[in-house]
Amino acid sequence: MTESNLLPSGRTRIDTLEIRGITKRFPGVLANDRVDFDVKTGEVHALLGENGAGKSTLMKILYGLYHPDEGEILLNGKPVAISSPTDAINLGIGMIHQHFMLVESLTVVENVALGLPSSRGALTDLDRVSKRIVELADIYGLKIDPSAYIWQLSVGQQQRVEIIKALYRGAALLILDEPTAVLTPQEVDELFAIMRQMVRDGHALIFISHKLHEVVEISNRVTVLRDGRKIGTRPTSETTKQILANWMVGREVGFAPDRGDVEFGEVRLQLENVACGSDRGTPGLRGVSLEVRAGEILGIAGVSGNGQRELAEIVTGLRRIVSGNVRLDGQDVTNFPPGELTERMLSYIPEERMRDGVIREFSVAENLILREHHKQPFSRSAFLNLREISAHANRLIERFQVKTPSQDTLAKNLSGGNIQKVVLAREISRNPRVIVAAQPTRGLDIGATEYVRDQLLEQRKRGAAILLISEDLDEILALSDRIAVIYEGQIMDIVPRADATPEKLGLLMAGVHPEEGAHVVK
Amino acid sequence: MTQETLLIGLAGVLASAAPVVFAVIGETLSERAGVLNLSMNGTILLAAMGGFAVAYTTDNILLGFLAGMLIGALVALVVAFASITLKQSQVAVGFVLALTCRDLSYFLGSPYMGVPGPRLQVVPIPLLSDIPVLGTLFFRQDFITYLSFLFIFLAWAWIFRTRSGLMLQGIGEKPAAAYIRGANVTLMRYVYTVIGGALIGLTGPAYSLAIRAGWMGTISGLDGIGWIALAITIFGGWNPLRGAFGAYLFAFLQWLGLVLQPVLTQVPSQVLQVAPFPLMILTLLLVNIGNAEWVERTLAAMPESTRKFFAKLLRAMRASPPAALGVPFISRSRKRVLGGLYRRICARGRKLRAVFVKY
Repeated sequence: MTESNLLPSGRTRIDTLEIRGITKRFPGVLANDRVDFDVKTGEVHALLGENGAGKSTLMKILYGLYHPDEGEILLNGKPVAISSPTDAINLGIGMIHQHFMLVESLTVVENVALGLPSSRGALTDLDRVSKRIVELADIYGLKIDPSAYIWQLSVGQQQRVEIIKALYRGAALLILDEPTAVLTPQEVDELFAIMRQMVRDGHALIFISHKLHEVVEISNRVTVLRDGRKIGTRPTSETTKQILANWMVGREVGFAPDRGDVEFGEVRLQLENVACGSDRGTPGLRGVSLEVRAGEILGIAGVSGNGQRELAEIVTGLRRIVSGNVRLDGQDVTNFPPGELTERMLSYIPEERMRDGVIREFSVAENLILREHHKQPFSRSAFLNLREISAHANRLIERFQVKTPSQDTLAKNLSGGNIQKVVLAREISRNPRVIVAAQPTRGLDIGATEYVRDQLLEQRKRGAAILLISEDLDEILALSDRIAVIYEGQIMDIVPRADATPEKLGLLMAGVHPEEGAHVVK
Repeated sequence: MTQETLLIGLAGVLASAAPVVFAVIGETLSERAGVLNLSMNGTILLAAMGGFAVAYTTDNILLGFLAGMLIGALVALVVAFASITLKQSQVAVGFVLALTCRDLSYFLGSPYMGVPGPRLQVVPIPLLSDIPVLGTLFFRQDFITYLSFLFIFLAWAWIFRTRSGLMLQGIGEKPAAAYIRGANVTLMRYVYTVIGGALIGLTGPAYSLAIRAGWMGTISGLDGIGWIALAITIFGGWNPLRGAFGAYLFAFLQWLGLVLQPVLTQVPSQVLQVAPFPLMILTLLLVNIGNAEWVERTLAAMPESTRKFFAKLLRAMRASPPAALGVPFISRSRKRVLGGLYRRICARGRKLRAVFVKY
């Protein structure tokens, strides 16, 4: 072992890691079909693909969570068997999961020490672990307080804990599973800086994403998967976003949706100084004022957990308002129950579509009449009109291109994209006056995302007022007429679309006014 | 009341709280691992009866205690099997077991009703028992009370000071995170549920062989203890120290009822006997008052500094249960298999439909 073979953390490098001909079958699904993939020391290799393309399966095989049906893994040219995460960790492979594997009620140091042998036998050695964390944090430039509880940390900080955890376990190769999905643009920049530093130090990184611009920015090489098959690998410098997108989807895709010009009408939704609590007992919203006009999309940008959920809930009557008021079509509807708001033609596309958007155990047809089931023509006195419900379902399935075996299929058996189409069909087909759309494309693939966005723009053209809450900045920029940035329960600023840049919004999302460059809200 | 009687009374409080302490620690361990053992009330009765019966038959107190623990462990094993392996509702299973075990103890215990049996003796610890005040309080107790003192600190140290305890917290909070770090979640849940069950089982003979020696069937006065221990576990925020405090508070309230009875003659004695139960519930509500919406609203209206102070206080008092309590753990690979099955069924449905449409 020569000096140059060592990483700053003291571990040996992984020069090459090669995956050859990996095939993984699940009952009825071929998740990976003879996939080859390799990564070398000192590079970021991006793995790109739509949902269900087989990226995560491949990485879980590499991390020992799944076992391949065929194929082999070679580390520095020698075949290795990885049958559990423990094996992977021992070989120097670390993984940053998309959903962080941190115990919220424990501290940073406890999370790092969790599952590791202790230098004091049965007793914990948290003080020693803490010291080592500080050392590692210094080497890699990761600011972190070892004694902080996880629930106190921002998402970006939690991710740093995950990275430290992997480094502490001696990771030379790091798999990052959609690491940017939850970050602000600034946090993404910080993450990329850390990644570049690690690559310079000789780490090998695998970066999983479906965001093209990030892949183009950070990776040295890129591999695209589609339907479990490898489409190709290229040096990133020799590709463009357009090529990669076409590879991913398998057809030509358009980037900017057609917005068209729409005249704004009267104010449909108005919030005045609204304050409410949150589930954690802390204030959720602290004096939010905004208005949405007919034919307008107001985008709410912000980092997850800054009051977006509460905002959607107070507008739709799901959460009580402590002070301030809400007007719908000029009438005060403060703390009206959801049913009353439905009558006034408010529609809601909820963030948790599986939990709040559909009833999992109901059929597609039943889910399509949830809002209006008690009214003509779907029911007469106490009885449901099954024939009309069925005809209605057929019409909507046709119109919204819902892919379902039948209208009697249970909602829980549909894919995420088709569930969202069911929700859209129900909420939009009643020609609402106001639409609240929360994270409408989260977790959807490019095709379904395109469809949902087109539908929202269609509604805007029809003259609906749309409150679009999204943590995806690209989506906000693509759809909104005006953009409000929310931070710690307050609206930092509302900017017209023409003046909005990702940089400016990113600063506002972090609680900083670009002109003043200082924290306004504490 | 002289100082001596007061001290002896308080020492009695510590002793009579010992059985509840075992139940609370047992339930805490089980719930920390993510398994809600609701059978506790029945288990305690069955273990009290079984422990007494074994000690009476064999004339061996130790065997009686072991029998109680065995009964508790076996009932917990049923809970564990139903909830972990069969993934059934822990509430339903626990409730049915609570009722079954209670009635079983009355039924099987009838031959032992009111027979005089062995009883654990007080063993003063030499030297230590001569310390004024403390000696009377802590060191003139029976063996099982000493054990309860020991277990409080052992359980606390285990959960908060050892590697295994850290993993236990992880398993109850986020089993997936524990699993990724190499823990065998299923096995550990079994182990902690069964050990917790054995401790709950110890509660039974701690009554029938010590505090309330003998088996009196329905008039043993033990019915309900399990439920209050369950409440104390929650009140204790799944922390053995706080839980023990709750147990002592409950025993103190019971003792107070006894002491006040001759003084407050106009109050019916039943009221004083029952009062500790609603009082405990009330305490529990107070501790978790921060969850209420009106409190939130009142707080929001207060000035910033006052609001912060109260918010902090309420947060410190409030304990949140282990996040994965009562949630079955399915490792990811299993989930994928199920998902695949669904897809396969859907695909078959589509195919049939296509055929149907064609003709």
